[in-house]
Order: sequence, then C-alpha cells, then structure tokens
Amino acid sequence: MFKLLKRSALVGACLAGALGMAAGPAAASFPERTVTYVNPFSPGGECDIVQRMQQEPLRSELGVDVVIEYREGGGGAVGWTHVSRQRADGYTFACFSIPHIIAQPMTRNPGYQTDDLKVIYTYHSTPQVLVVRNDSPFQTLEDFINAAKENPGSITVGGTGTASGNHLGAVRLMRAADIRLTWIPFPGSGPTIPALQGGHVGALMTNSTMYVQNKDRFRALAVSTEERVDFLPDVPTFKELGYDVVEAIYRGALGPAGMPDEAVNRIAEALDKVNRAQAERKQEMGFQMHYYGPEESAALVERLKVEYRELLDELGMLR
Amino acid sequence: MFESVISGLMAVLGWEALLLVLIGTVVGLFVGSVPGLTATMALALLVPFTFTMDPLSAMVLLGAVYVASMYGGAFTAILINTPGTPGAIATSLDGYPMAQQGKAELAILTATVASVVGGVISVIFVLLLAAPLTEIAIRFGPAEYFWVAVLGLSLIGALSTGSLVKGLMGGAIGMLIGTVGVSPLGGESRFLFGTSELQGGVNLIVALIGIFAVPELIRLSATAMRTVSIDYSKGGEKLSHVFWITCGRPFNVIRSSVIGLIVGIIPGAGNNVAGLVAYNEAKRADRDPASFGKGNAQGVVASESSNNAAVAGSVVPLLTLGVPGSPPAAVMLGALMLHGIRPGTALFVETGTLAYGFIFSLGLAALALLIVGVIGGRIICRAVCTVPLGFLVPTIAFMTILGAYSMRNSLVDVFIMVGLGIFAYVVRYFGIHAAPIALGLILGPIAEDGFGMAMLQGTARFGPDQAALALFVNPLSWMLIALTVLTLVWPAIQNRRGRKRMTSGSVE
Repeated sequence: MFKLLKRSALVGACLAGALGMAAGPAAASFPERTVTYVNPFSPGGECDIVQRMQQEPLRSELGVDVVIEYREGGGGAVGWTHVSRQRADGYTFACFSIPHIIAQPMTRNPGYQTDDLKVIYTYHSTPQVLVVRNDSPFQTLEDFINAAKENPGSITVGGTGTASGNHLGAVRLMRAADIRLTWIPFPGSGPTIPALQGGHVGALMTNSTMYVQNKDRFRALAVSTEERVDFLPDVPTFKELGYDVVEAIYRGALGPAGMPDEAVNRIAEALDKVNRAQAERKQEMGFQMHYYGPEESAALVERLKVEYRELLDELGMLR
Repeated sequence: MFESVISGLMAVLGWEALLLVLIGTVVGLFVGSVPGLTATMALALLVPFTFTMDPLSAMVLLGAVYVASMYGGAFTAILINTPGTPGAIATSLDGYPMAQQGKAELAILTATVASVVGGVISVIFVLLLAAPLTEIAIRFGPAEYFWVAVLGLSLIGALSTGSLVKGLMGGAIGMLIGTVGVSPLGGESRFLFGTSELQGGVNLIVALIGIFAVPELIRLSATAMRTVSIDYSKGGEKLSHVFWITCGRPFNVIRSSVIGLIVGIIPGAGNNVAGLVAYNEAKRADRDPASFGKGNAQGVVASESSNNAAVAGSVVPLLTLGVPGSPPAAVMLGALMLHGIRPGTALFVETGTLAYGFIFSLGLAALALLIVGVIGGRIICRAVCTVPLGFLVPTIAFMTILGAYSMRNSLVDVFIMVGLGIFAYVVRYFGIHAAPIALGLILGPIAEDGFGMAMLQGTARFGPDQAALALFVNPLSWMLIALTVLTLVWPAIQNRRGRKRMTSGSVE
C-alpha cells in the first residue's frame, strides 16, 4: 500500500514536472488554486497560533485561499508522514518543528524520513530557558549546578516529552556541566507551569515563549543561545557562564521532497514577507525571529542532524 | 478589584457583547449537538475572525461557543444515546432511558435548566474565589493525577448497572485502546501494526462516536418501527415543572455544580470526567440509587449542571496561570496571546475589565442557553422524534462519518470508528456497555502519565527502590485514595443498610 502510494506520488511528480515543462511560463503562476497548510499538532499549540496569525496575510500574499488542515498525532509524525506522501507540487505544506523532524526518524519509525521532506522556510525559534520558582534557593546557575553535583539525580527537571527540544536542552546541560538530573517528561507544555508553581518539579527546561508568559512568577537561570536574547536582556546565556549549551526549537514550513523550485521560492518569499511584518508582535510573545530561506533552512537541518545523532546515541535512543 | 468587577459587568451588558453571546450560543449549540464537531475545532476556526475584534469581544464570543457546545452534547446523548461531547457521557445514562419512556422533551428541558443553573453557580464561585481556586490546580502533581484517574475508574462500579466484573472488563478494554500510539512518556511505539496513522493513537471523539452512535444506528436500522421509539404524545412540558425537578432538590444541583467546577479546574481531567463524578455522587446520595440508569431525571441534572460548571472551572487556571484546563481552553489561550494579553494573576489587576467581563459573559452565555435551549431544544426534539427512521438513520450515519473524518482529516479514523462501533455492538450482547469503555479510554492515559512521572519523581527523591513512595506522600493523594475506597465499598454498605431496613420493616 505504502509503496503503491509512493510510486503513484512519484508518477504524479513526474507528470507534474512534464506538464510544467510543457506549459513553460504557466508554471510561474503558482499558486493557481487553494493551498493546504497542514498543522501536525493540536489546536491551541504553537504551530496553531502561528498558522492562524499567518493565514490571512498569506492569503493576500499568495492570492489564493489558505486552508489549515489538522492532522495531529505522534508528536507531529502523523502530519509530516501525510505531507511526505502528497504530490510534490507545492499545494500541500506543513508547519514543522526541529528537533522533531530530525529526532523522530532517528529514534523510531515515524513513517517518514527527514529526507522525504523539503524545508521551505524557518520563521522563528524558541530558545530553551532553565527556570525555577521565584522563591527557589537557586539564585544562579552556579547554585543549581553545585546542588546537582552534591546529590546527583536529586533535582527534577520538567519539560515536554522525550527526545524533544526541552529534553535535549536538559541533556546538553547535563553533558556540559557533567551533572545528573532527573528528567520528568510531561504530556504537553501546559501542565509544566502548575507543576513548577506547585513544587512538583525543581526546575523546568522550557521554551522562551513559556518563560515570557510567566516572567512574574519564575526566575530564569540561563538561556541556551549563542548570544543574549533581545527580549530577555537580563538573562545570561549558558555559554557566557561557561557551559556550552545551545538548543532551540525551530519552527517553519516544509513540503514533500521534490517540490519544484518555483513553488518553494514562492512560498518562502510569501512567508518571509508575512514573517517580517509580524516580527515585532512575535518577539513580544517570546519568539526569536529567523528569516531562513530554503538553503539556510536545509543547512540548519544538516548541521543539527549530526549533533542530534551524537546526543541520541549517548542516550541510547538511536534505533 | 471592585471597580474592575463593575466595569467588567458594564462592558458585557452592551448590545454588542450581548449579540456576540447570542451568536456564540447558537453556534455552540449546533456544534455540540453534532457528534464529531467539537468545541475545540469550532473555537480554532473562529479565532481568525476575532483578530479584528477587541480582546474582550473575542473572548466573549469564544466563551459563549464553549459554554453552549458543552450543553449541546446533551441533545444527542438524550435522543440517540450518543454523547455529542465527552462531557455528556453521564447525561446519556439517564437521559436516554427517559427518552425511551416518552419523556424526551422533559429530559432535554431538564438538561437545559440544569446547565443554566450549573453555569451560573460556577460563575459566581469563580468571581468570588478565583485566586483560592487556582491553588487547586497547583496542588495537583503527577501522583494526584494518577489517583484522580483511579478514582474515576472506580466509578465504573456505579456506572455498570449490571455486573461489576463486566463493567471492569469494559474499563480494561477502554484502557487498552488508550495505549495505542506513541507513548507520551518514553516515546515508544505501541500497537501500530506497521502503520504510521496509528501513531497518534485512537482519537477520543472518534472512539466515542464509534462505541455510542454506531450500535444505536445498527439497532435503529434493525427495528420495524417507523420513527424513533420515543412516544412523543407526552410532549409540551411546562417549564415550571422542569424548574421544580432541577431546583426542588437544591443539594443535587449545587453539589454537582461544585464538583464540576473543581474537576474543571484540574488541568487535563477537565470536563470529560466532571459529569461522571457528579453523577456518581448524585447516585450515592440519592434515597433510591437503583433508579439511576433507568430514567431518573436527577441523573441528568447532576451530569449537565456539572459539565457546564466545569467550563468556568477550566477558565480559572487559564486566566490566573495561563494554563488551559481543557483543549477548548487551550485554543482560547492562543487567542489571548494573539491579542497580546499575558494571562496570569496580573491579568485581574492590569486588565481587570477583560478578566471579569469574560467571566461575566460566561454567566450570560449560560443564561442565554435558557432562551436558545428551550426554543432550539423543542424544535430538535420534535424533529428527531417525528422524522421517519428511513431519513433519520442515514442522516446521522452521514454525520458520524463526517465527524470522525474531520477530527484529523483521516479515513483511517472512519475505519476505526466503524470497527469500534461493530465491536461495541457485539460486546453489548455480553453485557459490556459503552460507558465503562469510554471511561477507561479517557482515564487510562491520565493514569499512565501520572504513574510514570510520579515514579520518576520518587526515584529522584527516595531512590529507585522506594520510588513508589511518591504516590503516597501528599495529603491530597490520601484524600483521593480515601474517596476511591469510599466509592468502592459504598454500594456494599448501602446494600447491607437496605437489607436491614427491610428486615426491621418486616418485623414491625
């Protein structure tokens, strides 16, 4: 069944290519009909918020209707598998997040391979922030690391899922500081906030957006970027404190591999315009803006593939 | 604070806000009464329309849709034994038997009044006690989630009208179905059978449509009757009579509302369980618990007042913590963020008009249900009862397929729905009913997550050998354990008491 689908997709792609060549200039007029923007996560999630923000401006940018289609499940895997099997004509693309699209095929069989997907554009990332409660005894990252060294494994750190951005951020910290923490994987980011507030975990490795929303209650010990983040000027980076921890969840748009360049570039251009126009608002919400086109996005994926393979290997999670 | 409350009230009493409430309730009623259209989906579709509105209007509209869709689920639960929303599972337990006894309209009007009362009571509580109520959400850790799920599973005893063992079997089947997919804790793939579509697990709504609606459709197709076997001749119920049913026993409706409010506050458990917990308590407190499940209107009152109170409950952590108590609340959180509003306790101080206005609007939406529900309820009830089965069954079948497909735009979900439906139809003949299966499906994953996380916590705190201690160290856990034990042994106590009363009666 799968093979058949793949083959028919291939035939379809070839046909589309042939038609495109035959039609010549007509192909430049992509898109000609409604495009489908797949959301592989649940309504109310980060992809949903961004896609709903983009839907209207993207419609005027592309000149056609943009339909948002939910295909949630398996941490995004159901949606990306679906997209990877669609005709590579640019009319179906999806919101993506890294590390998911890189880590999932490394740890299990999610139904797609990273190379089955073509990254089109990367709009933003959410750097990882180590946060504790305001009344926590850990004033600085140093306090935190010393406590972890004294009693290895006694500090619990919460975040979303396993082999997720949150988790890999915590793993990188453990590696860089040579400490042992107990990772508590929550089903979704929502429940992590009351868990820290209620003292059910000692700290959170969380997205910058989550910290920005809860600034008045939580203290950030460090952020996992190369340089300080514009919207968090007072939060030191792990790097400046002497720990090489750089981790972020990147989000953008992808389509099936083998999309024609015109379509890729057209979507990337449209997303770029929309993204730049929304930059200020998104930064206020805690997003680190990026404007990576197809080449830069592909380079990002290739770089992270190597890093994640190493990290997951160390965790014994490679399949 | 007082000023904010007043300005919030004034803000929602304008004609514009009232109009939005009315539109929202009509939309929500429709969404809730069609199995497969969920409040979450409706809200997600509405969010872009609210971009141009001011934040308060946006939240008023979304809130009204949410409130009304919770209530709309009661229609199908009563008329065709299919809860339109998971929150209405308990409504079907007595609502459907009522309909079969020819009291469909009475059941629907009772559900309406109970929803209104539950909604209003919970809004009053939230207005007065938002901050202390937030504490409840914070106190719930992994161990408490586990025990809440166990408490919920112990309700199977109350739900199964026949054999307890068969009820437990149903629960186990539900929990087993709940394990399909990629496990949330470790990321392992379970029961995928080599497909990628099952990674997301069995969608709750898809499963509910399958196990409730499909057996009913099969049964209706197999009858020789021309219309639904609801005797409609006793229609034209007086509203005053309905008010008497609901408010004549104030304990039931108030207790159920408070239960709904509290369960709604707990993020994750939410409205799905609220109705069932309240139903169980109502049954336990009633003088004649055996009448529940056979068309006791008090069962409908408990379920509906509770699931509507849960709406206001799930809004509490949303506004004070920025944590959604339910999937629809998650969409509303997204809408708030898009309007540049940061939820949190500061919300009540900085933008008190918005916070209080929104809470008031939930109360208004509950009141609007009275108008929309009484008119709409009568129309829908009459339509379903008089349309020939030859039209009704295909229409409902079409809607169930559409609903299952629209969950994730997947044909696989339609197959799952039909498959589970046929399965449920067959096992019903062996005495295994849909409600315990649904309960297992809802609570299994909550129990698993809670247990797994609590064990990890325990390992960090007490070492790997005594990790299980984490399940027993908090007073809140003890309370939940005590409630579970009480739920399990109460029927036995009640039995013995009943027997004693009977024997002493015969002596006199």
